[in-house]
Amino acid sequence: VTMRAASCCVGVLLLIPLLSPAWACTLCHTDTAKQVRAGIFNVDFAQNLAVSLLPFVLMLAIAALIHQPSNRP
Amino acid sequence: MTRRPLIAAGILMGAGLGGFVDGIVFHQLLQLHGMLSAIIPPDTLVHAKINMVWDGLFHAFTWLMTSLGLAMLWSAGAREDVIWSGRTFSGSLLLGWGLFNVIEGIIDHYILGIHHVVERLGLSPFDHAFVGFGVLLIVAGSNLIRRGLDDPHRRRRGDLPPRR
Repeated sequence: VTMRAASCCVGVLLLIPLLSPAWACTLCHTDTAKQVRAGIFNVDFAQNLAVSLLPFVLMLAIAALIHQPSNRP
Repeated sequence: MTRRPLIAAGILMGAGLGGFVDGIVFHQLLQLHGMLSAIIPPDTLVHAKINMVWDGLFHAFTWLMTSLGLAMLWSAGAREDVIWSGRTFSGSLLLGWGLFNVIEGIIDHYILGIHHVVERLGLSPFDHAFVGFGVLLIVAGSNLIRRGLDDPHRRRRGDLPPRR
């Protein structure tokens, strides 16, 4: 029974990519998807990425500075 | 004895959780702005979806900050030389949240202008309130951390005073 259940699970998992809901991915196959991808991966991509991550980098730097042991006696 | 690992962990977790508040409340629930809404106004499906992707990146990094903070908290908990103080840790959470609001607010809202709290209004009093709230959190967190100095410096269970 366990083997049969496991086989069913594996079968369902293998079928998932073929099922129609997978094609509902709006970033994959539609004209809208092409426009969205073009709007993300354009000449500004690196700049937008850097700008979006900058606050996180600064917070990591602050945490790293605080985490370092103090040199004071 | 040191409090630094606990404070660093709290700051990262506070920044991550504070980032989630920003992303969930302003970006998703109220939809007042998106990550790049001043550059790419989300007034069409395509533009809204582009902002959604960048919002997702923002959330991915707030998740990473929270996870890293949790790992550091776990590591600090395993060290006997780390002072285990609830006030220090909760103060660090507030400090991290406040620092993130101020840093993100100044960079993204004021200097680069990639989004504003209420995008329809552009730079508005809501942005000042956002950064002001961050400053309040920094003051409150710093106070709590300072008060945590009074907490006992002992960690091991055998060293703790008996329960009443």
